[in-house]
Amino acid sequence: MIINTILISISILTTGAIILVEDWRYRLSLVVLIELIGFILIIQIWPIALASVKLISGWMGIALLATTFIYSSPRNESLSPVSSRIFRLMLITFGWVLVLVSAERFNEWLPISYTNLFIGLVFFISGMIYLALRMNSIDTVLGLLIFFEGFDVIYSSLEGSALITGIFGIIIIFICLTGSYLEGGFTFGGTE
Amino acid sequence: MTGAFVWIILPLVVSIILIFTRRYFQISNWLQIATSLGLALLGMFSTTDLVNKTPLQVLEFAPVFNILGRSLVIDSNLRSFAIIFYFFLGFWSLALLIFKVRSRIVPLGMTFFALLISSLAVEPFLYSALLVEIAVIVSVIMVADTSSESKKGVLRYLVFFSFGVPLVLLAGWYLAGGEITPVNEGQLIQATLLLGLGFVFWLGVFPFQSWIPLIAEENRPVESLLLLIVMPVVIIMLLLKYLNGFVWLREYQSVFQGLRIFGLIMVITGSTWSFFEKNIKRLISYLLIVSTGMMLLSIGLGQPSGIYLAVYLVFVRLSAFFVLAWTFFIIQREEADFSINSLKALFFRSPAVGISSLIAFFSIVGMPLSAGFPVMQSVYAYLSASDRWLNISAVFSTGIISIVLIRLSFLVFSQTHEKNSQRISLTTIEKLFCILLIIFLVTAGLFPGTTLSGFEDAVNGFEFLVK
Repeated sequence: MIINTILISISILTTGAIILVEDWRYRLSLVVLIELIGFILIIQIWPIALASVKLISGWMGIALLATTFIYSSPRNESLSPVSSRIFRLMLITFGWVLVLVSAERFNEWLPISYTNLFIGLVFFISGMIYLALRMNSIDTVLGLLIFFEGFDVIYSSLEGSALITGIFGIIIIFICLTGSYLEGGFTFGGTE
Repeated sequence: MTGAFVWIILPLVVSIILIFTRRYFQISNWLQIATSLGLALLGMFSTTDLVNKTPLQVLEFAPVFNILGRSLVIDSNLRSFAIIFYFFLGFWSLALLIFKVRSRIVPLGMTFFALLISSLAVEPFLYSALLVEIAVIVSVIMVADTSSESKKGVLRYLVFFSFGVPLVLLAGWYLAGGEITPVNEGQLIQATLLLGLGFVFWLGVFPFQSWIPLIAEENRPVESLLLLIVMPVVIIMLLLKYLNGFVWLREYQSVFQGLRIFGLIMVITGSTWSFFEKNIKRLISYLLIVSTGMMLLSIGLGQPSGIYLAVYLVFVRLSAFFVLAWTFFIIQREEADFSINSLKALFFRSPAVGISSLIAFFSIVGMPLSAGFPVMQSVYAYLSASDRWLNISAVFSTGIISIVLIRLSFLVFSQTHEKNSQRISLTTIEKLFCILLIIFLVTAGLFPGTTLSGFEDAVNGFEFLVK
């Protein structure tokens, strides 16, 4: 019970922080933390080998993005005005409230652990809000990672297939690869 | 040997080989053309259905390929579909060769098509959403022009398809549960809503259609149009597979009503937007939205004839937009102007290009004697019998597009001294290619039965939908 409360609290704080922070290093670190929270939740249901696949693929993808950031030297993002931060905080708070009021109802549809459902929904909504707030390629990829982590936490509790785990791992790495490609991290031949 | 090995694994292997030989682009392209056309021909002379074998089908492939406890099933439907798709890729690659275009379609096109076919082949088919997502990611790399300032289109495409994946997977989980225990009304509504929303994201139904014109505008038409032509066709086939596979989904009346409404929304929004559009690339993308909407309208009829009409519309889509894509490539090669004014005096600058573009446009809208005419006319007839207002709305929308096309025709045949002198230079083989395209579209319009009957096999296997 205490662990569940701690996990829920950390997931709320992490998603709040990722919406607010400007430095890409912090954002990547927070996505790493989100992947770790997902792993801790999934390991309670699944064998460690399968759960590890998700964690490793997620971290590999983030490492790939970090490498792209280092070599492509992203623009230094200037600090956004306070009003913008307040707006973003209010938006994510709205997301949390939405999850809080709807989680029990969702639990009637999806017969899984309440903690998994709550945290899954928090990530899911946060991913969507993140995608709505940031427009560039890498941030789109980070948003998708958060979004998919939320879905993964929920779906893993419903379906324990090794094939889905494998394909999901491939998807996560491919998404990061795409983000890296779009940011100029690597090229795939030229066009004329 | 299994069908999945031939039409999924083999193309993937060839695609990987092509990555390494890509430096020698011409050779790689030839290899891709040979493989694609070879796979299509192999499909014509082989079968995966040993019971209904024809004398022409001299080769036999096992339909089921097992992998990690799941199966990739190439039935007669999917074999026909693979034939269509590999022919399309083969001819698209041939056009790349003729027009000397270096593109990432070689080799990623083959990976993309193999993944799309695998998404239709996987059993249990709730896994298809994941394979669609991988295909989407590959297509982003294939299409995205990294030199382009804005990448909004591909990013939105990636995001919207990713949003659709959880919805379709969850719906699949619900529906799969329903195969074991009966599903109550509430669960059915939830599953239908999830599935519906997933397909709305995937098909680009208003208001989630913004990625379609953006992709067309921001990227080269050679890659972007291949994606925009093919992707919705696969999603439609996936939808048919879901409808055929789950008994209470197809018996739930709201499903077909929903399809009709979504189809109508696409037709109306696509035609309205196209009326105000000045950019050719965006205009084509709106016509693609209308084409997808028409397919949904046909399926929404909830009759076997509607399913056949949808697949006939696939033929019109593949053929007419193929011609349009390459016609506009030629125009773009001459001048980097994408406004509709670039069509001014097109007929006098190059009669072959002017005529092929007009015939393609008229096929899309279903003008008499064009390839689209018999199909569109049947769609209107069935819509009229089903719901008069639906038919009036669809005809009105097509009327709007017709006005756009008449405007374009005036431009094509308009004479301006300045433009007339700017002749479009085409090599002999390029001219021949354009003339062959014109002959193909005209023949398809004059003898629709011969061309359309080949497409029926792609849906004949959906026994609960077509019988």
